[in-house]
Amino acid sequence: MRVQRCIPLLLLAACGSLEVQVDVLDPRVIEREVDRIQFRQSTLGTALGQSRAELEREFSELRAAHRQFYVDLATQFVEAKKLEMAGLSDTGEDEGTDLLLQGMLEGIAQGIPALFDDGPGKRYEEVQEAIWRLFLEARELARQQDGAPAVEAARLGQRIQALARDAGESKADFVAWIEEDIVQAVRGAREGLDIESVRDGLTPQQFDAFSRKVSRSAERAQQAVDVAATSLVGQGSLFQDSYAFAVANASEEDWALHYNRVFGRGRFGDLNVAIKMNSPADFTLKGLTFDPSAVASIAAKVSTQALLVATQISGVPVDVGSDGTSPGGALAGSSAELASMQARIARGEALRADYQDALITIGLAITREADARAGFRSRNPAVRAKSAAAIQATFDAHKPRLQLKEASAGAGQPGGPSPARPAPGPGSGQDSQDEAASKGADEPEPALSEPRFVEVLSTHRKPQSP
Amino acid sequence: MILSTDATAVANAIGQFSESNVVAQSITNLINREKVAAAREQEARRSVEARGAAAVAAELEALLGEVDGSAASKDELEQAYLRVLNSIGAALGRASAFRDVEQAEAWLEARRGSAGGQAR
Repeated sequence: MRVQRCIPLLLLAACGSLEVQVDVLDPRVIEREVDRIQFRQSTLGTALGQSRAELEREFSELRAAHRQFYVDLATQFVEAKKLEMAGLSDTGEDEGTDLLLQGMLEGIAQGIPALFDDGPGKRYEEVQEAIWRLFLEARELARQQDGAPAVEAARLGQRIQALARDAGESKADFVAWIEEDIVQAVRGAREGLDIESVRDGLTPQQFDAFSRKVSRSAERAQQAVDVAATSLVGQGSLFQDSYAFAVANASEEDWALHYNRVFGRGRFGDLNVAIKMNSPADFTLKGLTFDPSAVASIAAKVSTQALLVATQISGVPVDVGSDGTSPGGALAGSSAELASMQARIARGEALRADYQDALITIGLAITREADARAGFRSRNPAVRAKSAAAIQATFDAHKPRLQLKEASAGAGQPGGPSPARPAPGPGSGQDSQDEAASKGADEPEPALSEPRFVEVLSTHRKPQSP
Repeated sequence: MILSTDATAVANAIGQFSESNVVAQSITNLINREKVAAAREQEARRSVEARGAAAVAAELEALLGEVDGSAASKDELEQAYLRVLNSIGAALGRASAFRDVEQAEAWLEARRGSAGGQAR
């Protein structure tokens, strides 16, 4: 469990990844969608189901709108022409001519719808009839298809589809022609107007308002162009595409993965990857720089940390060393405090052991003197006095050890045997005491706090019993 | 940040983490919490024990000061030293008083033997 604590430090590692991926969709998905949309837009459905009355109504609505455009255009043309003429009238033409011209213009304007009916309007009936004929043909084939054998039915089905498609394309072409006709008509009307004369017919305020309107729309058009130019994918965006749903909804197997992929990956080291988009969906790797020089310093720091932590987990304090700049200096520094803490614990235990040993030593010094011949049990008062003096001397010698304090260097008594030797008394105990005392005195004097001190003291021996 | 490919920044961040004294102290204390607790306990006990030890020393000094080796009789000396021995026994944790000097001697020898066994 302790080892697990240092694992996160070892797992600190750098990595990065960059990936650009362009996938390709099976084009048949889009083709299917196109077919579906076309069918839904009723090429086949209309071909087989639309009645003649419905087709006629559709065309007459289209024709009415087209004709109304011509009427409106004529009205606007006449209005503009009147302004133009008002501009001309300032040059000194007489009023009668103006009136005549105005009358002519209105006549032309009234005649324009008739012009439409004779010109473009006639195409409506032609196209409508052509489409209806295609419809009838398709319906005849559909009737034959009922009850026909499968192969024949399939062939007929293809022809029906083709007819329906032709009818749809005819209609689409006709609508396109109408749009083109409208554009042409507007252009023709513009060419028939003299813009300078229009300006003369307007008040300065009116012309300014007109100019502002024109320049605003020009600005908007420019902005739209700018947005399209700055967009990364430009016109390649799917947002404006009517097939976006089909693309987004395509199943996984319709996509070709691993097409035009660009990768950038880095493990350790300084990594820079430049990926460039040549055009929408076309990416290329432009450049890559990799600088592994910092990897060594990461490795050194991570492994130093791990080693220091592992050392401390094992209970071994780390020496801080002299240079504080090496990696992990702080950890080693905190380890030094741990070391002094452990030393304090050890010292405290040694002091306590020493204290107890001093007490025992004093006690044994007394019991050693409990001797009938040489100790305080002697009948001789002089011997008793010497014995008491010896006990006192032992106590005086060991008294500093009873303080539970570390002796400051060079101060106090070392814990060795008493320098004031016990008074020699008669009897066999004397020699052994002297021997013990001299043995102790020969020992190098250890510091008070050292546990070794206890061993020195234990060289005291009890005198031989008589 | 650790997932960055900017190795210099990662190295610096690891360095800052490891060079933070607070972090280092926390790691050390965390993985050595038993020793830290023991050291605190030791610190707390030390002054109390020192006072107790000083009291014992004073007591022994006073008791020995009472002894007049030249004037006292043999029995008086015996009694005086038995008192000193009892005081030593109490300081070493003995509950009852010694009957005589011989009993005290046996007990003290036994204590020294066990203390020596522990010390080594």
